[in-house]
Amino acid sequence: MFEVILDPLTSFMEYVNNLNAPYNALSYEEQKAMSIFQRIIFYNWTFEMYCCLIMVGFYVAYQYGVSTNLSIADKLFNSLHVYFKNELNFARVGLTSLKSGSPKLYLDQHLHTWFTTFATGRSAIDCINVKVHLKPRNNPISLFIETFLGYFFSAFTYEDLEEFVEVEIKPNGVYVSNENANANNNKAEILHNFKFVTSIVNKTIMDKIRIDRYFLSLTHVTENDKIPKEFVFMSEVNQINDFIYKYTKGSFNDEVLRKSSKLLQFISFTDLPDLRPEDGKRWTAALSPRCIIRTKVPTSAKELDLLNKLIGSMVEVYDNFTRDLVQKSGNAVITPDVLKKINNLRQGELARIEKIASHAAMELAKEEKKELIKEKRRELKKSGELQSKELKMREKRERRQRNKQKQRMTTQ
Amino acid sequence: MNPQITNILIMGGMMIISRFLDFENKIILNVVRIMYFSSMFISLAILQLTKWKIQKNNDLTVLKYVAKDSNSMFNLAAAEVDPTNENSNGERLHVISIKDYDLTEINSALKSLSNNLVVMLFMHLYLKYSNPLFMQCISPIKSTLENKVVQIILFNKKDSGYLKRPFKTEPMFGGDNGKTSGGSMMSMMTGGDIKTDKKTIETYEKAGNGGVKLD
Repeated sequence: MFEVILDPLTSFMEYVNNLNAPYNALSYEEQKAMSIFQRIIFYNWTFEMYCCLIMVGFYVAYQYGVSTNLSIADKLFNSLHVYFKNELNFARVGLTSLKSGSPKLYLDQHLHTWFTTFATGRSAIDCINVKVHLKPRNNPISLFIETFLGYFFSAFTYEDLEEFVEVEIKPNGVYVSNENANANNNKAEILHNFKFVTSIVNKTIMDKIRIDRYFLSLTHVTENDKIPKEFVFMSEVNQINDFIYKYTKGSFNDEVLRKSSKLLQFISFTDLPDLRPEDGKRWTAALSPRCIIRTKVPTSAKELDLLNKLIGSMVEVYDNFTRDLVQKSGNAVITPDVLKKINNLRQGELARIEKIASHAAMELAKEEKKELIKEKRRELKKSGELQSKELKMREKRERRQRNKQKQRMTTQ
Repeated sequence: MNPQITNILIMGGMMIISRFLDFENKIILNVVRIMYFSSMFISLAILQLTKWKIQKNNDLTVLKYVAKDSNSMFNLAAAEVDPTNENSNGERLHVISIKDYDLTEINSALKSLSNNLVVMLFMHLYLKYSNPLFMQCISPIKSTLENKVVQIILFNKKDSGYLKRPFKTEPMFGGDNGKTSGGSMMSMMTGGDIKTDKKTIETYEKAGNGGVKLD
């Protein structure tokens, strides 16, 4: 079997060695008689030349990959920062990172594959986090191997090959209508109304995303004539499918959603975690109301504009929903009845999680008990007590057997 | 007759015929090579044409069904999610558009075609076997034409009966595809049946088995 790999390798090594056979055949005296220049000319540099070419190739590929990723990130974040600052009126936009002397408003990590930015300081919104993941273009060999393996063995598919933008908008439950108005002080009470899951998901990704995100795997999938045919609603209860439409402008469907059918993967308003909590405590700790917008990486000016509009529309949803809650207007989609219904559904799920957690704890306790008994037995064996104990037990068994026999004899 | 059985019969027949062929003769060898590569090319062309038609039709109707996941990682995760639920068995709800379902089927057919090509090239060029080339002359075209998506999309057959999506795996020796408790061994080996009833779908729809991270 190894011959398949070793034979070509051996013949290649032989070929490489033979390249310089005339040079290696020279005697010490002959080499000494030649000048350095003559030796350099006489030596066959083909192998070294190919090695250098490969190294230069790697360097060029690395530089190309880095510059491509950086140019995508620069274009994207410049567009987002301007939009956050000028259109959405955030007080603070971007992170100040002074890496390698050039000030950048975004964080660049993991060899230019992960990028992050942030915006805060606005009515109704606590913060916006933007995460961007790009392919490791600077390492074409790993990229090729991963793609190749992914094609033939789907189980090996490496998720880092995916490129995406994920925007997380967190509400703060505070509504300020203008610069001079006072903020409401019941933000905890307001945020209590954000406990629901409603999403608009692209049909091309709906199956995979339900496996990846816990909160989506608790929702009901509904097709509706209201949304473009490329999308479905995924909500905990069907009554809240209208939530996004109610708080956005009438043009949202045609101007934003329909046009972004190739860009947008999903929009979700949720407070449940992405990963499945292992018990009730972790469930409670992971609750955090937010809106997630996940898209492909926009590259053209049109796509960048669409991404900005999508973020703007979701900020608008939080603005209008928070305003409705603060001003206690009667036409809210999220009514106490709906929240109660959702809460009842969640109680069932929570009970199931607790049941699984207690089952796992019981299994663990059983394992530990077994291990303890084994350990005790090992110690007894080591000290020699086990032998004497076993001897005593055997004697006891034999004595009992004898007694039983005696009893039988007497009764007969 | 079941396609798997006809495949075996064809392979057997081709094997017998190949014994009478002189592969040392360059002309015969080249004819066999041309036959094999033409067969691969025709299959590839049919599949690509079907793919193009699927993209053009753009049927985005949602298809929901409960089945075992082909990804073994999900089966592991599902087993970890709810060890108390004996009915889960690594099954999950699949929510997919008809377009994506058809494309997945066509892509898996393309993948098996490319696997076939790689194996044949290795056997012929490296191991110097020529019989397999001849034996594989008919099978690729036959399985491509028998592909259910090809039949629906290219030959405009109605998607009902055995062509109804989601497609059920046909057991090799007949049987009921595991519908009754005494389902055939083959149906059990191919992963059991696909459930499309409303009650099962509703149960699995909100099962909450997403977002499971394997350690």
